[in-house]
Amino acid sequence: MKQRDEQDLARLGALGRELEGEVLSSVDTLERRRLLAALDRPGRRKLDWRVPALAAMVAAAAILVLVFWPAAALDYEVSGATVQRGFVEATADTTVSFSDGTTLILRSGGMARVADVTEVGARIHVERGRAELSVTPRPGAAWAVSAGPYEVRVTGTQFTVDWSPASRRFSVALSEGEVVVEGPLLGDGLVLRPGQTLEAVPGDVRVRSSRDLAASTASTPTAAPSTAPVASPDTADSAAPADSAEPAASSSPEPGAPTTEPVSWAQLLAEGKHDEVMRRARARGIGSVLASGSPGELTALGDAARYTGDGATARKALEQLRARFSGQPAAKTAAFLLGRMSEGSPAAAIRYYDLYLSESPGGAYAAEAEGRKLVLSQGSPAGVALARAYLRKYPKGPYAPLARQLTSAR
Amino acid sequence: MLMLTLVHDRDRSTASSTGAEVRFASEAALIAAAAKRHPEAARVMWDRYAVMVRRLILRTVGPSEVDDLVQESFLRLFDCVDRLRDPERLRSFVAGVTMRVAREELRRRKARRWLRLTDDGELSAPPSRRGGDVEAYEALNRLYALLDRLDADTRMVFVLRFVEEMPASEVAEVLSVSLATAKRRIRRAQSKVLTAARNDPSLASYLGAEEASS
Repeated sequence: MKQRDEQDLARLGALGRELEGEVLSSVDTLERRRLLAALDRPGRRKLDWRVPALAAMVAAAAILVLVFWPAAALDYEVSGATVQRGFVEATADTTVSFSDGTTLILRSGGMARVADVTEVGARIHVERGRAELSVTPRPGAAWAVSAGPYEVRVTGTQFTVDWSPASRRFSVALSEGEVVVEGPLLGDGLVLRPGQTLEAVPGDVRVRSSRDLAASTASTPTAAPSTAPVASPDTADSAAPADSAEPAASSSPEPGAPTTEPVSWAQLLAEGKHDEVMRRARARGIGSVLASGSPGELTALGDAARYTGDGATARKALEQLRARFSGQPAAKTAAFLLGRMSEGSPAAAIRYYDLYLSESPGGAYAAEAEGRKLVLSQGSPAGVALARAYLRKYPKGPYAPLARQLTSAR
Repeated sequence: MLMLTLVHDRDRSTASSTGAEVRFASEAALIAAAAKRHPEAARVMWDRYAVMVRRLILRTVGPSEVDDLVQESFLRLFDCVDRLRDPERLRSFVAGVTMRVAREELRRRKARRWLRLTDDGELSAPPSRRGGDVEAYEALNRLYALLDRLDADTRMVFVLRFVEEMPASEVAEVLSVSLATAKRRIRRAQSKVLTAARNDPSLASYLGAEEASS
């Protein structure tokens, strides 16, 4: 093997090791307890051979269906440029028209690649330049636009993506509909609303709103600075109501644009700088943040406080999220987190979990909330009923062994 | 009668709640106790191997459903640990069980993708967030996206050999294949990954930058 190959493999291996397997000790303790509960259940049975056999038969039948009745993938035509190995290089404005009515306009100088075309969408890689996508809304539509490390997931909407690989500047400006943007500093994804523009450079992500949008959303309960640092995904919905306005999709920073702080609290959290978040919150006054902070700030404060062991402040931040931003995703998630923080008092924790489940029955933490209720209800008369309900909903869920143990003990 | 020695004489629940350390007289005693699902053996096995199992799952399968797959790996381990003949090979045995769970999961996910059964239509979730170096974060994302495109065996071999830095002999042991087969798979994995990485702008840029700085 060549020396360069060895060096590159070593570098890739080292890069891969950045993903580590350590978790918070509290999570580790809970998981270990879960394992012990599962092992304690009399006679965990090995998987019945009939189950995989049946699954294989079902899968085979499904494969046959797919093979013989395949859904037709979308067609597309490119006008104004040639396609080479899937790449579209626009020497002039170029339109890619898909058979479902979706259009992609690649502005002069841009380059994109159309990939993974299915019957419900495609993946478009913007290699450079500006791309304007207008997706025809259809049930199950699944489109994605990626540019560098960023990805925009779409169901039906109009938006413009700008990507400069040289400066690594990315922006997405949404005209209609809703998109989810993923990438560095964006966690599990950030939802953009019409009129909002997300701008990202290495180390910083911001969301702006147009003046028109600001006027139309004047009644939005969260007045926010003209340039809002991005919050965590849970608070993304409220990331950027604004009153200033750089035209959407501007790819250059607005001279003199007001900035609140050079680095967002969410970003500090992402970098593990919990103490810095707490320092900034204290500098502004914890009371002031609680009273007037944005959902993103309250979420960040809650997280930072929890990580630094300041449970009282964490609880206050979550309670303020609930009180001030009722109905917003961050407030709903706060109910779950308050439940986790309240497990020392099972009744209180269960009330929070019930609240979360009532507000977010299909939420990301719904199964976990049901499972935690189960754990907290062990030994109580309600435990068995909860266990049965859990098994009905999540027969293969992480708490299913415990649920079966509770039901079989009766 | 289980062959274990407690370094204290408290009952099990006390030991658990105080975090008191429990020692087994030998690896064989630990394995025998584990085969009988003794809670102390389970605790010791968890404390000793949970991070490794989680890491292997994370790097091989990705972050989705990690907790459940770790649980499944341990449950499988306790189901079959009595088959381990050489107690000194417990670590590799645990890794082997984990990789079997990972392989099944990778294949299951691949089938689900093909059958379009994923919940969100996405092929994979991104790796966990990593603060600080955005370039490295991007490269990390790209690396795992690249691994997502490999077949299960190739991905596992790459992770074991180059990420976990296991020697070929241990890769063979973990994957229950001959040394010759392991070496062949390693060669294939390194060729595929290198080619794909060098064709990926972000990874190529990352490799170039690393080379320049070294």
